[in-house]
Amino acid sequence: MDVSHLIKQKSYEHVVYVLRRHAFTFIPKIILFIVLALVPVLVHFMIDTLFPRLFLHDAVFAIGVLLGSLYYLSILLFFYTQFIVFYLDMWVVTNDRVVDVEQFGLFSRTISELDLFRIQDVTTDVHGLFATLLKYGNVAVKTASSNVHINFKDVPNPNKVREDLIRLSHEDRKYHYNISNAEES
Amino acid sequence: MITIPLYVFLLLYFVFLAVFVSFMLINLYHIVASASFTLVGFIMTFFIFAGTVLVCFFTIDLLASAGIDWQQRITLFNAEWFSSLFGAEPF
Repeated sequence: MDVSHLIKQKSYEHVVYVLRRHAFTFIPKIILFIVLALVPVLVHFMIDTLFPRLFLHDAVFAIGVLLGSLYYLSILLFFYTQFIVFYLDMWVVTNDRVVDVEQFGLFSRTISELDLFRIQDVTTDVHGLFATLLKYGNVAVKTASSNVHINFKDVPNPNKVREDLIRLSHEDRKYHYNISNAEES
Repeated sequence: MITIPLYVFLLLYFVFLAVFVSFMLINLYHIVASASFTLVGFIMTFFIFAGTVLVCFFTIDLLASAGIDWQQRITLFNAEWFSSLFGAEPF
C-alpha cells in the first residue's frame, strides 16, 4: 500500500510532503534497547561469580536459558513496537489538505485532516540543543476553529515546512476563492 | 511436596513463542498497511527478524548441546524446607 491509497488521494491532488519524526528522536529508544540487552550478561556474570556451581545443575541451566531467551525476545518485541509507534506517526501534506496519522500503540490510531484553505496560523517551535543543531522541531497548524489543529512533532526542517504550508494555503485559498466567485457570477 | 516435570517450562516457553509470533505479525501488518514499508521500515524489520532467528538458534543450540533430561521433576514446594528453617527439633 502507498501513501496515496492511505489518504484516499483525490484525482486533482498531489502529495507535497510525507513527514515523519526526525530519526534522532529515536536514539533514546536504541540506547534503552542496548542497556536492556546488556542486563542478562551482567546478571549471568554476577550469578557465575557468586554461585559458580549453580549452572552445572541441568534444570537450572535449562530454566536459565529459557528465561534468557524469553527476555531477549520480549525486548526485541518491545523495540519493534516502539519503532512502529515512532515510524507510523506521519503527516501527509498535499496541495489540498493536511492529513495527520498518529499511532498510539499497537491497537490505537487516529487520523485527522484539515483543508489547507482553512489554515489561519502556522507556528514552529525548535526547542533544545539537538533540535537546533539537527534542525528539527514542532510545527503547529491552526485554523479559525478552536478545536481543529494539527501538530507536526519533531519533523525535520520545520521552518521550510511552515513556509511551504503558508504558500500552499494561499494557493488553495485563491483556488477556492475563484470557484466561489465563478459560482456567484 | 509439589513437583512438576521440567518440560512444563518448555511448554510455557512455546506458549510465549506463539504470543510473540502473533504480535510480530501484527507489527508487520501495521507497517505494510500504513504505507510505511520503506527502506527504513525494511531495515528495522530485517534487524528484528534476524535478532529473533539468532535468539531462537542460540536457545536451541544451548539446550541441545547440554543434553537436558526434560522428564526430570522440579520441586516447587517442600514442607521440609520450613520444618528445618529455624532449627526446630522434633520432640
